[in-house]
Amino acid sequence: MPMFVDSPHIPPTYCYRCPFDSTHPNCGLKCAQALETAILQYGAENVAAFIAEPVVGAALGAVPGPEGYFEKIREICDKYNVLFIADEVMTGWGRTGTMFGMEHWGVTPDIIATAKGMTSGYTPLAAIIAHNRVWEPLIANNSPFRAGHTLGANAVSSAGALAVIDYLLKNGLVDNSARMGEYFLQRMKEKLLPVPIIGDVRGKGLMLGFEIVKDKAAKTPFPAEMKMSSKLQAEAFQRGLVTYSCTGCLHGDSGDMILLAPPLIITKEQIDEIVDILVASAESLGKKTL
Amino acid sequence: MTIDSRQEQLLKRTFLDYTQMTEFLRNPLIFHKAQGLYYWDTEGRRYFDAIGGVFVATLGHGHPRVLEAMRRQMETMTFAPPLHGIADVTLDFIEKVGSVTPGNLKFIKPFSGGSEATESAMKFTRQYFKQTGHPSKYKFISRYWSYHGGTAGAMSASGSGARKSKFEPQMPGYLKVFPPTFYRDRFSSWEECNRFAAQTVEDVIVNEDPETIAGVLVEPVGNTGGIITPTAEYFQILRDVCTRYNVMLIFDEIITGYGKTGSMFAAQTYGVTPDIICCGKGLSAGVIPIAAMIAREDMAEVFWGSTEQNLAFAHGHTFAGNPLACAVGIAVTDEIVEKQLDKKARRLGDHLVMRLEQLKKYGVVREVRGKGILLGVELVRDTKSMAPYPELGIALKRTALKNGLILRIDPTWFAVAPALIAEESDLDEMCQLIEKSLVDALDEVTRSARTTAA
Repeated sequence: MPMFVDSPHIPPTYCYRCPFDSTHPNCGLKCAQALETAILQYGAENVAAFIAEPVVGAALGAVPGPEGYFEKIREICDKYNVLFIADEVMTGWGRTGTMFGMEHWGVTPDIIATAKGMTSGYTPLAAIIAHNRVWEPLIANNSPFRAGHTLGANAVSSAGALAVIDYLLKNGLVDNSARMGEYFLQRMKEKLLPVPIIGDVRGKGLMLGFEIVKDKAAKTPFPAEMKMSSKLQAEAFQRGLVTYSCTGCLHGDSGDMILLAPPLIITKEQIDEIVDILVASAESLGKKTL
Repeated sequence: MTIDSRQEQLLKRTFLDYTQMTEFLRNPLIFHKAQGLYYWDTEGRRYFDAIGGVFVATLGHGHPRVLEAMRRQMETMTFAPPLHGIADVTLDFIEKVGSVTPGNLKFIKPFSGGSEATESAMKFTRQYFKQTGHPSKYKFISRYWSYHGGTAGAMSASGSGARKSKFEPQMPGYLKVFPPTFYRDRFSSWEECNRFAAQTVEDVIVNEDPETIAGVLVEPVGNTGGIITPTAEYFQILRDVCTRYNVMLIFDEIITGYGKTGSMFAAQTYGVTPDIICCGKGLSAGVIPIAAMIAREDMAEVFWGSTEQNLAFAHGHTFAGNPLACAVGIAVTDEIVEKQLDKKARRLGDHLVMRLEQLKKYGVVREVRGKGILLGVELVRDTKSMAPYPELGIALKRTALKNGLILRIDPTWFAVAPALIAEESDLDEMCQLIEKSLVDALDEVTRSARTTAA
């Protein structure tokens, strides 16, 4: 049934399973080029905006856009006067090792949508942050933005966010996220990737993930009915670790991933502990299955 | 008030909801503190809060019971992992809300805002029909002059042209009828007018093909349209029509819920039980974002099934049902129930109606209407022509603030909904401020009319 006016989608930036069967960086960034094709097909005057997560969260399990991707996106958006909205709900506030995920590409979006880490879960809050060039026309046209929510800017949530952001800045947590994230990814590559059922390990800063496969060489996923990501989540849970299971990276129905986003105050010792649990869980699950 | 350059710069980096910012900057207002029935701005000026912020502060500001509940919960847990489990206090919240809802509306899904609650109600209804052999039921009927929220679906359901047109095209499948107020001058009685307006809903269902209609969404007392207060019969007809055509009757009680109309829910005030109630605002007492979608238990059963069927309501929001919000919701519900504040609303409402009716002596009031303490006053140029008087409302916006009064003014009517902690003496104080503001506003408009005429 129609949900909204039909909106185009372009292929995801999933290099491990490249939709164009190419290999970065010699791929011509066809995934970014796809945006121009979509804009031309629908007519540039009909396309208002392109929205994307700098690092894809639950849908792919911590997959960052490839190098050069968002620069190309920015170029295409500028060429066709299409706004670029960065969905930084998960990537915002130091999660990826920079304050905002887009900083990794040095690209400025037109609008940032953010939430989650902004209050560290203490109070409900989200925000849109827009570039001058987006809201100045509304001001110039004496045109109010006729939208809002009763408790949107409420004092309690705002106080929570202020406290969290102050703490982030005072305690250098964005830097810690970058350093710990690098360490975490390295340990995962060293110890988790060799495990037979682990196909790929990736991430940026403290937003990390991995894909579970049946055949590492052929990248074959397990059948969806086997619910492998839930099973891995359960194995880790039994060992005292809370993880986030995701599915659907292959054509939207099969494919199992795990997403991790630990607090930015994490230490190397804690990372070692987590990686050990993940390895034990993956090995145990692998033995039970293969 | 005067603002410094820092405040001015910051105000230029945001928008107030639904507000013309250039206008606002000419007369900015920045609040600092709130307590009980009052606000104080950053310059120490006091304001009587006649509307609980925006129909939110049911228990006034800084209510000790609510703050204590928050403090205790903050020390325990403010956020449980929503995809892994549920907080114990969230279960308590579900039990608490279920103890005050009408009929078998015991299924409760908490959210963070009214828009979320109405969006969920619509998604829930569509999925419900797909899973009960009616996959083509997807359309919703709602009214012009209504407001159900700012998100895409809720906006499509809302009937407020100027608020929507800059964001259109809207979602498909949203049909509209007019509320009874629209037809009031064409009928000899309000009752007849309401019967006609209710009948138009059935007419739309029949002519669209009932198998395509999923729900009817209404505010029992419509704020945005001017405190539209239909008759009980209006809702009885809607209830009957919805039952006959297997259509969900959804009450948007985001404003009317939580005591204001004289019962916990307007459904109880009107004696009509819908299939779904959306509530918010008052449930929060203004301290934290919280709302809820409340549905018939048997509707929810359809989403369980066996593990093989893999049924689930594929919907949710990160902060929905978070422990801190639920602790607040429990405290608010307890306070209203224990102190019988819903019944108090009825008593206060009667007193308030009497006081507001006294404003008719100025010859510019067509009607005082509403339920409980949710009341509206319609302004007209004179009681013969009954022509709307927007200039008066616009002037009233200024004079109310000057007199230290926060009122909801739109501009052909104004509304009040004071917190349920108010006593009659507080209401009298409020009415004095209203009267003074109205007189000042009348002075302003008659003076400027004379100037233009001269």
